[in-house]
Amino acid sequence: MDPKKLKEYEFLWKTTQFPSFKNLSTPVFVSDSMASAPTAVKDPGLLGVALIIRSKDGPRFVFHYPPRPSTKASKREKLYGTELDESDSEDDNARGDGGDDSDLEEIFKGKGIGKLDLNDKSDKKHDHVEVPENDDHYDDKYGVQVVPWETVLGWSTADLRSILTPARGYHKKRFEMTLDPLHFITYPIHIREDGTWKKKKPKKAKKESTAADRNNNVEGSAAEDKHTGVDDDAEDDGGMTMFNVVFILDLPKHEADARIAEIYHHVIKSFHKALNHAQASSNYVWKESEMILGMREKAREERRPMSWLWSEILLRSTLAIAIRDVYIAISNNKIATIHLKTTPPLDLALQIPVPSFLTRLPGPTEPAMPGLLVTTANPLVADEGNEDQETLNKHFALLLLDDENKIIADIQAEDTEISAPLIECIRLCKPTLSFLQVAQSNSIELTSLLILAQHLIHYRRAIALPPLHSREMYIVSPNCDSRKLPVASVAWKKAFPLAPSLPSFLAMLSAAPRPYKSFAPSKNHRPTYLDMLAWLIRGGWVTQLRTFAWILVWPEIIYEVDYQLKADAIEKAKKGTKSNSGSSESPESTDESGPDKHSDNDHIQTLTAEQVAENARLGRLADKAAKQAAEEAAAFAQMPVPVATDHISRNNAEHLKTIPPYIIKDPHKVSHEESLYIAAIGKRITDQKAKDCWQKFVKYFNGNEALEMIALRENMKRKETWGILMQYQEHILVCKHW
Amino acid sequence: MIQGIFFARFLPQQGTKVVHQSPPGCIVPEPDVDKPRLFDFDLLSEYIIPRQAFCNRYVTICDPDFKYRILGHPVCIKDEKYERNEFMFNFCIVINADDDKIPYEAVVRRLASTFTEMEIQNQFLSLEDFSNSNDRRSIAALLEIIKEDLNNYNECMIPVDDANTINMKLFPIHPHPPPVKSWHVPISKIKFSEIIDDTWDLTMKKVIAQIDGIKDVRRIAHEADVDLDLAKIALQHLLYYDSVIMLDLFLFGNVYAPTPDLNDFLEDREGMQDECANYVYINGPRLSNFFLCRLFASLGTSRTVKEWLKLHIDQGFPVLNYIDVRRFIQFGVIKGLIYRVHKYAVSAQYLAGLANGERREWREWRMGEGMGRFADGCHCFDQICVERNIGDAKIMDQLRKFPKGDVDIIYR
Repeated sequence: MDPKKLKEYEFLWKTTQFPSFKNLSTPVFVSDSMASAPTAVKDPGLLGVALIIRSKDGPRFVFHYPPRPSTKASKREKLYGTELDESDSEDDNARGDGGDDSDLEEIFKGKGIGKLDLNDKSDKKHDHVEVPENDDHYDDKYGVQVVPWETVLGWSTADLRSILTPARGYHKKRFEMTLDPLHFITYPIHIREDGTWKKKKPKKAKKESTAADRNNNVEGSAAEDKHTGVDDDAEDDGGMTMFNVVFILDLPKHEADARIAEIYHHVIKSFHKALNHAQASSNYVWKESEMILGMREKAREERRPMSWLWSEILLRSTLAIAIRDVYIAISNNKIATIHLKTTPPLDLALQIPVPSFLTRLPGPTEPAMPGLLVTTANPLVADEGNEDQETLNKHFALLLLDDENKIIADIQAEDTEISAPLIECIRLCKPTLSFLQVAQSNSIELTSLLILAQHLIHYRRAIALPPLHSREMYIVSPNCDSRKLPVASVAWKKAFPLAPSLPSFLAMLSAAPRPYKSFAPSKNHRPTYLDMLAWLIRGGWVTQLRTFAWILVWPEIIYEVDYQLKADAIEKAKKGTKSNSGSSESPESTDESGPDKHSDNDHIQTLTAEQVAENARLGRLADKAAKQAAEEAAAFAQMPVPVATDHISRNNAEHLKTIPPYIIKDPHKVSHEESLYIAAIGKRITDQKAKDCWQKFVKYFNGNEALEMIALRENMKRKETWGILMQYQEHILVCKHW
Repeated sequence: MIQGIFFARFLPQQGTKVVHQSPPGCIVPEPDVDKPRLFDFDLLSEYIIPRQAFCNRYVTICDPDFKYRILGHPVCIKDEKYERNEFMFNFCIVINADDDKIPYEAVVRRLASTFTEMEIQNQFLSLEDFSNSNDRRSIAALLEIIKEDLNNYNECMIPVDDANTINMKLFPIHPHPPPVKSWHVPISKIKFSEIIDDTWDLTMKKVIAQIDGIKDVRRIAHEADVDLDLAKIALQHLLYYDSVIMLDLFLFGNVYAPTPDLNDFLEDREGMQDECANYVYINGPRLSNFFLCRLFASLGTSRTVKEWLKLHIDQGFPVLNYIDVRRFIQFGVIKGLIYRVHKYAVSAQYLAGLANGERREWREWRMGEGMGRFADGCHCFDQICVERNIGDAKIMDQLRKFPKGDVDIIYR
């Protein structure tokens, strides 16, 4: 694994798309063991994808997928928060029909009692849906042939093609139109004024990496320049002046804007850029369109059924296949892997990124995301030296989301330049070992390991999390998707035939948090039990219960510090009065006492009135300060001397009763007093080792750093750190959550 | 905020033409107005008056710079009296592309329907230039008033002629609220007694009278003598307007655990600690906020509220002398500082049945007195409690009727 070489690949996930995963017949990877994998992602609402071009014959509707886009509104999300019960009305059990559409629904729809569906599209019928959509041709009453594929979503393609070939003003701009509830989003590509599809680059002026950046996803751009010439295109581009692939979406109103932006930036734009490149280099879009248009025409004459034509097109056109794959993958929230047969071939992968974990549970009014892992363990940390860049935390471990052998087989099949290092990375990484440990024990470069791991994570083949360890505690995730229990139980039984059943094991884990090792019957079982744990986390069933702490300052310490501060002040004041006696005080002071202001003036004639006044004033001030100091000293002497007790939290001394305990929120940003508290606490720790570590450990007590990570961060043994932390018990406020 | 409003129509000789606009010159150049236009209208005109197939529906389009969004509802009226037998027009509103467009949809639809009606009545639009009558307002003036009133007052009420008035209002449109479950406990966010009046729905009034932060929905329905489904609908309306919050059923046997948001409380964001103190220190003298922090942090997945109370009392802190525990827990739940750990029963047999698709056999069972239907890990004990009207202990009793070792209890 050559780190420099790998660095070159970094753009693969720094940009959003990527050439890889060839030969994957289906872009979806699901296996039995993945029955429990999180699928808690929103329905992207993608109804269809259509390729429309403008040629010398005017706008042409080339191809769309699926052949019959469904306008049936996507099912309304029924689950919110972490709720699992899907019924709207609990009485359906009494009726015994098990249906989810209860009377409540009927009331909503029918009599309109308090109809709340002001904005919900789910019940609305689109007026144009009713057009008969057949597979076969027929003649209407005027004897005109009705072609089944010339109606899409109830509109004729002749109408759609005119409205969906935006003018040049939209060249490489976002085109967004809505017709009632449907959104039409695209990124039109027009031919350039000079008749080419791409600006010619000065030969060899740019390196490949920048080309890849600009084209964003293009592999092997070496040959592109040869084919962009005007002379080449003039012969056979059919006068095509623009093309675009329109994405048709139906989304809940309140989510529409954000979701459109997402699909536009991650999918639509990149797809068009790739097609533009393909068109520029091999006249690809026109050649494919010409072929498809020819097939359509022929099938029209032969009155072939639509299903026949579509399967023919998909057999012959790689562009049609690409459009289909994009539709299938994106509408299922998967990664679309596309292979365009241009010269050289062009591969890209498109996806709407999905979170691999949640840090907080969805609120009761937010749509549920059941099955998604909840944890505050964010695998990304700011890169050292570069604040904007984020890299994987080297103390985290890699957890594969599927069977290791299956992933390896997939990657082998892809056979790209980085296949071999990826496989090596998969083989070496274990969910129980941090990246740093893996790198050290195999003496390989840590940065390359992290880059490879990041690649696997980007392609949803793995996640990064704190290394699994049998000393840590794991609880049943409050976000786990129990609706999957029946299927997952079967998969679990298959994977771990000798283990307790899935529900029993979850029940054990959830009863009371205990170190994980206490569930394994013997030490020999531990490796298997860690495998079981990995399986459970992968499926979002359990999550680590992590420990967080803040420094707790008891009244005794507060008093002690306060006392010391006062003592210091008095000490200082004493010294101050000594050194200042006789010399003139600061003249700025305007603190004059009123009543005896004039009394001194007449006595001493030799001095000017001002001098006299000044001296008198200084004298008074000195007296006053001395008096005040004396009073303070007296009051201080009255104060009980602080006594360090053994059980600081139970010190019920009278003088401490009015002082509430204090919590230091962030040890990174402490005031002077807080730093004194920390130092004072440090002195109280009896165990020498713990005492030595106090200043070092303090930074972890900010409520955000899990104490479980200290061992790895400080390169210590887990047992040792916990031993030390136990010594601090009285001085920290501890809280456990995921 | 409406950036511009205009009236466009299709003229057989000239094509799509903007007839009136406000502010002047915002869409197409106007003599004496030297102001930049919002966007290039020619580029968009085919979406303002589109092909007939796309008329009579709500159509929006963004300009190429994605700065403005034009909301329109092109109308096509077919009648032989018109040239080419049809009359096409569109009243459009222009807003910033990233503004919330949802409230304007109703306004645009209303403009289209009102003017369609007026056109059919007396050719208000098509004969605009020939009408000298003074008893009607000019369309240009109407546009100006509509824009100003909606921008300034969020509503407008403009008499157009003897017969027609334009009444419109920008309503905030909220997302659909989650379904109300019978085991939820509503707690009010506003003082209903101050806003309720005689015109309110009777069922709503009955339901509101029962909301006290303690009763579950089923009990509310029962005590208000209202059908459960109607009570749920009433509550859903209150949820829609964000005037109630739904909580879980508070019992001392419940388990609550902290969430990462407890950090916000520890750091006292938005003065949360004092807010909590004011709400919960009602049983005795007000103590330092520190104790609230400690109480929250010591909740956990392994102890019930009762056990947690005992823990603190044993440590010498008589919690009940100072705080109202129900309010304390509810505060934590509402703010998301803690979450309820629910209890679920799972029967291995039942799961196996579900996996094999043998649902029918089980249906008979669940129809009866048994717990069958609830033992799939998706129905929390709160639900069973409320639906079966039995307590926790009784549920456990009934679960014992399952074969030994078949049922597991998962806390989630």
